[in-house]
Amino acid sequence: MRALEPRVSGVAINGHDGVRVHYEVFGPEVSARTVLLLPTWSLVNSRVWKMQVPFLASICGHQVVTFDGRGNGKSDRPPEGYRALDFMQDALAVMDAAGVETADVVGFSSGARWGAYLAGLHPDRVRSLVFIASAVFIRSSSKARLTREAFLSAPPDREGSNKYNAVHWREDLPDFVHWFARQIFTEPHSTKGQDDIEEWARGTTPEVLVQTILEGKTPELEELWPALEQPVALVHGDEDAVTPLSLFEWLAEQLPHAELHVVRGGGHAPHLRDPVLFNLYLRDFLARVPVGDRRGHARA
Amino acid sequence: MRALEPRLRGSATNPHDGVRLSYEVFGPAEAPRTVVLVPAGLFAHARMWKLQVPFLAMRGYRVVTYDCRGSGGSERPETGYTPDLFAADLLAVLAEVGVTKAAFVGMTWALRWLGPIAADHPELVTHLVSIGTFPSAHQARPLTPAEQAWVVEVFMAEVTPSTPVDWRGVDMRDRYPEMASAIATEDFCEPHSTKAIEDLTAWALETEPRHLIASCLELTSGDRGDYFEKVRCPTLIVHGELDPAIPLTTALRVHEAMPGSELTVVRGGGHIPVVRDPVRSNLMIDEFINRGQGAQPGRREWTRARSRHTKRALFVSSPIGLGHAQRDVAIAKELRELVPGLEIDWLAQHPVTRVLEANGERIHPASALLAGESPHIESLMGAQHELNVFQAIREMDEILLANFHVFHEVARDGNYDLWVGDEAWEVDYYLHENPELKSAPFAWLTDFVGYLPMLDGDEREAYVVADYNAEMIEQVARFKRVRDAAIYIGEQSDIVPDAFGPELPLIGEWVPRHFELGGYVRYFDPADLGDRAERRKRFGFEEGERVAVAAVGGTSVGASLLRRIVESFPAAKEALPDLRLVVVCGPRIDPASLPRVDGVSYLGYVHNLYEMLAVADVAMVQGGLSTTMELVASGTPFLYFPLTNHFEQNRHVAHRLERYGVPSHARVKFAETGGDWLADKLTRLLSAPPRYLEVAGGGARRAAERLAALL
Repeated sequence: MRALEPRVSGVAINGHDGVRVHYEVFGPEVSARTVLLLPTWSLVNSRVWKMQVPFLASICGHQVVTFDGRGNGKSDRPPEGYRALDFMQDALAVMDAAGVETADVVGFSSGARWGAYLAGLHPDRVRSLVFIASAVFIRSSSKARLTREAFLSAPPDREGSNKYNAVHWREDLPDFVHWFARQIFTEPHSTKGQDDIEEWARGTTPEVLVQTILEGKTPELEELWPALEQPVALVHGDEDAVTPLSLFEWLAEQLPHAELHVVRGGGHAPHLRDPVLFNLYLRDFLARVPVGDRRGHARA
Repeated sequence: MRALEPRLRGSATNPHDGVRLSYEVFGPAEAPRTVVLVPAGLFAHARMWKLQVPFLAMRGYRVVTYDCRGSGGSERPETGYTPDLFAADLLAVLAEVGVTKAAFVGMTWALRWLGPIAADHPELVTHLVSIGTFPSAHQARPLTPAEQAWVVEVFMAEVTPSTPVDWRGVDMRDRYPEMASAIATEDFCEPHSTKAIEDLTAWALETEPRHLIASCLELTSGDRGDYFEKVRCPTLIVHGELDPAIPLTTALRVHEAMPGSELTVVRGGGHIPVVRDPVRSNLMIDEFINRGQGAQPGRREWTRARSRHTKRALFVSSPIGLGHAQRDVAIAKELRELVPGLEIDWLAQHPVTRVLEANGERIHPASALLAGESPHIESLMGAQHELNVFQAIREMDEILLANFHVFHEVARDGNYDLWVGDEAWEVDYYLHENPELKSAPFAWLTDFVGYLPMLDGDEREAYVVADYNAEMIEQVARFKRVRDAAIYIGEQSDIVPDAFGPELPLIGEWVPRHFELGGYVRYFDPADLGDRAERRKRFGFEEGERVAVAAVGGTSVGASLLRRIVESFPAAKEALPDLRLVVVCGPRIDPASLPRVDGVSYLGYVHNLYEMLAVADVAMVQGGLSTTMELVASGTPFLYFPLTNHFEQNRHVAHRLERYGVPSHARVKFAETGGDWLADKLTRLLSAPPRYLEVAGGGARRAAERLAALL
């Protein structure tokens, strides 16, 4: 059972392509602050925030909005339309449907890119940003990039990172997920987290995932990062096997005013594997973010 | 001494009536944020914030304090105590200092001018904290003229002399000292508040009663009372549940009248929680005024539990005397053997750091933030080798509090597996006052338990001493969980025969129930010192000569003693021609400040002085435990000179030394160092050298084993 049931459950419709996105709202009807927990890669759904929702809503008294990213959960699985722009527009549709003018936005992994898009293109809707294990693309990076061709053709073998491949996903997605779950959670004794990933991944299909990779690049974002005006916090595990710490270091340089938190010994999902640490930090960060000209504060 | 000196002091002038206000500014020059601390009116001036200032400055704020007109160093007009003029005073100070935006914290009457400022200057006030709030006639709304008249009438009503003093005009006029003391006592209804009451009474007595009366009248008649709803900034109202001066209901009214405000009630609290519960107040203020202030740029780390591979301990070693340092280093060495790979950080200041550095120990960088305890103690030394150390520690309250906050910052994020406090009073006291801040096992070490009164016939001193002891006993009884280990550095027979106070337990009965008796911690084995003749040669002591060594430890406290000894030496040398004197000044006394005398030579700091003392023919030292015990351990005859009125040296140390066979004539009162005293004493000692009890070893190991069990 869930620790906390949503107060509101609904469907928002993306005004550009009609995709329906399922969202949930938790916490008090009246609160000074709404926290929007963005979806991440369509491999998983909004349950990826299960450790944050009850704390933010019941303990901190914030309104919390989550939604299943298109391609998983209760949201539509369109055959295409998995650009960052699409996810961003889904987020706006959800905010509008839920009546949220401005939110504190939290993004995990790919969600960090979508959060940055949202904050850059619609700054009036985003009060602050927290990026966990940011999956950024560095155009100038010299690291060998998986080419579109290599991704779409059969890999030399099915071991390790070669599993990250369209052909393999079509032939044996569970095998990839099993492996990938162990890249996300490198911390010892993480069976529950790994099991959760595998369960949530059953909510998507190989075709959806392939499409997310083919459409997922956001080269123009590199210009957007330094222009972000909102208060920003970056959280990253120093043993992240999915998005290495070097990405965090690069992003920190783009955002000189950001708060930076490194989780020593942490993997790709510190908010799930070290939820107490993360939640208390998030509460503290949000308390320091001004709520604008409204008087008073929600109880922290 | 203050824990922190102001970076700037100055005065500002009220443009309306030319009154000059005195202000001080603390904290870093480049601070991104400012906090302004506004006093309660005329009853207490800027010093009432002494426990807030060092903490806020440490947290990186610029802190501005000032004295209200009519108090402290500000000008004292006969009239002109309206809220508008108080407001203009504050604005003048801010203009002078260059503050355009700040968080404001005020007490009692302050809201009467802070409220209008916050309402009229929203760009200036980012946060408002109001403590012990006293709006006009306890109402959070404008008063009618009739109500105001009534307030004045009640305030100025005459009373008969048999009426107990209270906050009223006639008592201010006719019985001010008595009234000030009574109000201060009432304000601090929390138990064991002697220091706070003394301080507040003293501050109140610095104000002229007629100005206080004028301020009460004009702050009432001039109060607009219309600002409550207009204040738009985040507002925190803090009030003691038991505030006898201003009832809690007043705070509730203000809270209701200020939409969006927060109210924090201090259960068990009196009128001035910032003084009586400084730790909690400080943390609360800091957290509140940080709200809405945005991201704090910079990189921080936290280490997940499973990745904390190394065990770490934080040692806090008292800087009052060098003895703690030596024994703690010995214990640390044993502890590392028992817990391989253990990392130890030390939070310490001079002169302890000297010993630590010489032993290759790691001093935590935050130690640089500690407020100086030795300078404070030294500043309270009497000219004739006197130091009432109990009073000195009482006066050290703001330094201890500031240093607790440094400890808390270090400990909170340091992932330590053990905290060790060797007579670290601030750590032990404030953890008992704020037990929720304890987040690691805590081991407490001390070589004495119990303050003792030193001034014969002084009832006040006896009362305060007993009060402090009683507080400690109650803390330990209520919060057993704070001390995971409590080690008394000694044995049962080392404990003085006194009680903690009238109707309080005997120290000798209470200590074994609350401490383990760990025995003395030796930090050297006399057997290891090697051949005596060789060592004497190493120190330049010739065969056939007798060398007296005079040493006074790590502070400048012994300067007058050294001077007295040196001055008395020529007479002693006449009686003992083969005697010469080596004077060890330590790290804080300049040898050049002492007279040049034939047969006397000077040294500065001598590392491991015990090696030299062990081969001296006779030693002269202060009354500190560690040095005298070094002499007992090495069998050197010695005279010791406890500081007059120093309870620990005169009572605890003296009792222990007697147990070890140190004769009573070896103890010298400074007042008795006239005439041929030195010649007599030295002759007696050298002709019949005393035989001491052996100082057993193993103390460091036992203590370390106890600590290792917590790891």
